[in-house]
This record gives sequence, structure tokens and C-alpha cells, in this order.
Amino acid sequence: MSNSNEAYIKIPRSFTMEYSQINSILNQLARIEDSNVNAIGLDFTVTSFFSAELSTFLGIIIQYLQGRGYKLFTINLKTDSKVGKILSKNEFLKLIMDRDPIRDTYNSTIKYVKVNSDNINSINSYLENNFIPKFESTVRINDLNRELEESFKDSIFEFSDNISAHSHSKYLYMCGQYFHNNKELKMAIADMGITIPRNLREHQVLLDKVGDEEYINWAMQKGNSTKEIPQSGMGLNEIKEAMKRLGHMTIVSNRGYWKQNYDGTIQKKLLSEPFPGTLLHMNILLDKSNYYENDILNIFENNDELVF
Amino acid sequence: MDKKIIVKDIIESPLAVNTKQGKKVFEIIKRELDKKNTVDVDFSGLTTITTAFLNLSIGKLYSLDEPSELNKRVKILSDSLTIFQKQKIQRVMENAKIKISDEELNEG
Repeated sequence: MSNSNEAYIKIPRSFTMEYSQINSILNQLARIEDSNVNAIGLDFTVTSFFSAELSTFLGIIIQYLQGRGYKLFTINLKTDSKVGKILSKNEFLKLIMDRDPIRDTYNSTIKYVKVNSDNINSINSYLENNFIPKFESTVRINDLNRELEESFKDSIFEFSDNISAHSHSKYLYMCGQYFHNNKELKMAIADMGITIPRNLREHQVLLDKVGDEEYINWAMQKGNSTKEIPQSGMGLNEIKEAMKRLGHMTIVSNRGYWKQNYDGTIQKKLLSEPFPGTLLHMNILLDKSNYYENDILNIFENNDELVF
Repeated sequence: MDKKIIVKDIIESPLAVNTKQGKKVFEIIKRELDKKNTVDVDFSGLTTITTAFLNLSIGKLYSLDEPSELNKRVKILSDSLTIFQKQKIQRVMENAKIKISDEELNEG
């Protein structure tokens, strides 16, 4: 039953990191902020698939709305439905419902967590306990496995340092999901601080009037940084390069949507409405990583000394 | 005098991942160089090293002296690094050199 003090955000039928899905939720969020309501329902009536790592995306939206005094609730999210079970297992539902999590028996769920962005031990434990075992059970070549794990962990820490340096967000939000069938490991990590486009606009790094997606694109290039030290501007580029070996990556920040596909092609789009933070989504294709074996073997022949 | 700096001991962690840690290592290397010592930098036991850390600890050394002088006085112990960590340091060094040249060009 609807109530004049309530508004609803319809979660899409199949909720993935696709531009249209993200844009749809941000559009609904903007409309709600313009209306005079005090309670918001997350409507799962038509949702039959929810890519669990996107709990991070929805988690940011929830925290943002709760911070503005809105009461949040769910509609048609049945505990015994596929989506209800997933969001219970990864403990996302604790954000808005007083419900004990369901135990994961398939070893595919990765918990939704909020950690201090400068607590490196906590971030490391989360990665070691939840993500690294997935690499170890899927990628059978030891050296390749070590490199992929290093690339993955480095990327997360590059992102978290970027957050402390630029966004001033105290917390990081993370979630993941392992898809056994196609051996895909997905992770989303986000903050609610100063977004990439806002930070770059303040520093006037691009003189032409361009969209937020172009600001993200600028930040992804090697050597581009607003840090007050000359030896900088590598963090986001390192993630971008690492992800060329690992899979697809997407960044959403304010109104920018930036995606790099596994083949290296870039997709840049402007979102209709802003996302209140920055989110990095990684889709790691563990099955494809074996193609990378030859490159790894070549790298191992590099025996040069380090010279300044 | 030759001094060996073990990064893991300085930052008290196997995770070398942020600028604060990088700055701490840089200050210790700088202090030894100021005392006219030569420095061996040992990265053993580090499981994760990011560019955020390396930009400050190693990249910033270019602000102290010319590369030819740094090569005489600072030695990064390659054996203490995995191949991937070594490649990352190489990228950080290249980036720092480019940035320093750009700065000099702008100032000149």
C-alpha cells in the first residue's frame, strides 16, 4: 500500500553494473530528493537477479539517504527468494532490516563491509580471507596466481590511498561475489567523499568544459595527479593497467561512468544524475587469466638491476 | 659507511601501501645520505607495495640528487623484491624522472 510520505526506488529486474541500471537508480534517487517524503522503499518486486557485489552501490545510496534523515525499508524482498537469500548471506540486509544472516553453503558469498579507509590491516584481512582463496582455487599456475593476486591487492590499496588523499572519506565500503559457473570474481569498493570530477574541477585540470566522465578519464592516465608532490599520478593508472590482465573495470564518480573492457576498449558516459561518491567495480575473469601465462613467463626473464 | 635499511622493520608491516609509510622511509634514507652514508634498501618480506608508497619512498629521492649520484649512494636490493614489485619500482622511477624533467622545463 502506498503512502504520501513514502517514495520508492525500483530495483531493476536484473541489477548489474550496466550503465542503464546505474542510471535508472540515480534518476529515481534524484526525483525523491526533490519530493517531500520521509520514508523510502527499495522495491524488489521485479528483481530476479542482483549481482551481490553491487550491495556496495546500494549501500552508499542507503547511507546517503539515512544521513539525510530518511527512513529506509524494503518492498517485496522475500527471505526465501533468490535475491533475498543473497542479500541476507552477504549481510547487506543488516543495513536496513534487523535480520540474522543466512549461512553461505556454496562458498560464493563475500560479506558487505564498512571499514576505516586508513585501516590497512583490516582491508588486508578482508582481501586475504575472502578474495585470495578464490584465486588460489581457480588459477593453477603458481607464478601466475601470485602475480594476479598481487595485481588485485595492489589495485585495492591504490584505490584506498587515493581515497584518503583526495576524497577525505573516513570509510570504505566493500562487497564481492564469486560466480562458480563462469569463474568470475566481482568486487565493488566505494567511498562517500569528494568525487573525482569535483576534486579535478577544483584544481582546474581541464580547461575545456567537459563532462564528468572526461574527468575520470583524465585521472586514469599515467602521470596525471593533483597531489602537491611531483612524484605522483600513478595509482589509478596502475589499477587500469592491472585490470587489462584481470578483466573489466568500471568507475562511477559523481556523474561520470567510465568502463574499461577486457580488450582494453574504453566506454565513457555521462550519468543523468550524480552518485554521491566514487565506486570502483572489478569483474575479474579468472578463467581468462590462463591466456596471460605466456606474458608472465616473458616477464620472468627480466633480470635488469634497478638503476636511478 | 654502508647502511642497510629494512623497509618492513621501519614501517612495522608487510604492507607498504600508503604515502605516510613512504614518507617515513624517505626520511630515514635522507637522514643517512645527509650523514654521507651509502644506503642499501631491502624490501624483503613485503607482501604488497603500491605506487602511493613508492612515489614517496623512492620517487622523491630524485629531488635530493642527480640520478648518477643516487646510483652511487643508494642501492635497491633487487633480490629482496618479486619480479612484479621490481617492475613497479621501475615504473615509479620512470615516472619520477619524467616529472622532474617536466618541472625543470617549466622552471627553465
